[in-house]
Amino acid sequence: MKPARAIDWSETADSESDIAERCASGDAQACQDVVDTHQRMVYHLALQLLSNHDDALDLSQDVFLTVFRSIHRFRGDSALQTWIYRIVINHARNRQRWWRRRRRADQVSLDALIEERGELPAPLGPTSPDRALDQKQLGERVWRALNRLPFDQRSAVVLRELHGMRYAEIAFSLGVSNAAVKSRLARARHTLRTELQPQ
Amino acid sequence: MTPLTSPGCRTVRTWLTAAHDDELSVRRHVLLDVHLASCASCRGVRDDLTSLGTALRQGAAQHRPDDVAFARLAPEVMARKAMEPDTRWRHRVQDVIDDRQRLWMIGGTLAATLAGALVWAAFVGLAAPTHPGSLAGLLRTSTALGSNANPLWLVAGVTLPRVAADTRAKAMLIQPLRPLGIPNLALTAVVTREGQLASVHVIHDGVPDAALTRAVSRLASDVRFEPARARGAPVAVNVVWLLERTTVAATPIPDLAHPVGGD
Repeated sequence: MKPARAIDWSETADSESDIAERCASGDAQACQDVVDTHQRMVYHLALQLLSNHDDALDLSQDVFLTVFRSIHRFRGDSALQTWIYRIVINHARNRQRWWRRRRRADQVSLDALIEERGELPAPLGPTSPDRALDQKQLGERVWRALNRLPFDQRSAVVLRELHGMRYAEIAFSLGVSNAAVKSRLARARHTLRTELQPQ
Repeated sequence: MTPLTSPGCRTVRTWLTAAHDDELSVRRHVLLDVHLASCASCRGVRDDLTSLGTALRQGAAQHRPDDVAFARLAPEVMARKAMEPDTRWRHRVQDVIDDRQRLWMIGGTLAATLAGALVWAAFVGLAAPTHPGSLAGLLRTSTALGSNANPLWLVAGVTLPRVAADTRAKAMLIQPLRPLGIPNLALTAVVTREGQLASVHVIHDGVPDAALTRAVSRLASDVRFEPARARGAPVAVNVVWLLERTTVAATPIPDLAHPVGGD
């Protein structure tokens, strides 16, 4: 997946403010435009954070309804996309907590994945892992390791590596400081590398 | 301008992540590239970072969205939006006005709230010890000597109540106009702080006489007194008058203030 172009906050276009304003005033076409423009991003991010198609679809719908309800509060402090990212993250985090309260631990989805896709391949070698294993298998292992990360670390890695967001944008989306973003990325990468080492 | 000095491996390692995330300054990038060209160890760390990012994207690519489900997203979102009530205040108010039943409910709720507030305020007001209707106020009034509920006896220091000048003529109706030969009549009453007769009883030979009491009470209701005073303040007092050989007028008496045939 090609990372999305990083969005500079100063690039927030007038047209974006205009469409947000029209959407806030109940213009159905403007709302449709918001969905059309951002639905792929929202659905991808939801899927990457939840690892479940149905949950991702459901969450995407909830996200857009939240966007419509609260778009009158969008002040253009960030790009509309970054603002929507933040809503996705909050929804996904709440859903994670909801599942956790119902004792649906992350390991359950992992087991389901193993059942669906078979057992793990042999562990990676200590050096040059991409040369040691097929890229597809490696990707599968990293993906599973990603799912085991704490939500805050996982969301930081997903936003950086898969969505190409800058630290400042990630910080806005997660509601934390730049330093916290760097820290979470460092810990997440360390954990992922450790997961890929041979047992 | 600061000269470009080659950084050590420790410094470079801290830059590698920032470089990987496109967050490193150009100057440091130049220094980093120079270092990496000559340091296999640091290149290995950079390659690990790169391969990790590649693997993540590879893994994400394997979990592509369900195109069929994705195609439903926009229509379902718009359908759910259409079903949602308009939350803007203007529309909410219009909805309420259109819905008479809700309007009645709101009106009823407001009325009930207002009534509750009034009851509460009255309760709080009555409960205040300073209020004469409160329990404390009632107790205070009833136990105060000289009150209407607890009249004094005529003792030293209490001035006698006197019939007010303007009702003296009416008081004269209770007088021995025609001796009836009824001995041992006594009138007991309370002259209140306001100067009225209350609790009137006529005792005949030691027994209350209801008929006489009613007749006297009717006449007495028109009589005003200057109330008795104790320490200068008006007080209610018990009085007993002996009305020996008294006649009670049972028929209307000509108005003495406008005597018939007077000039």
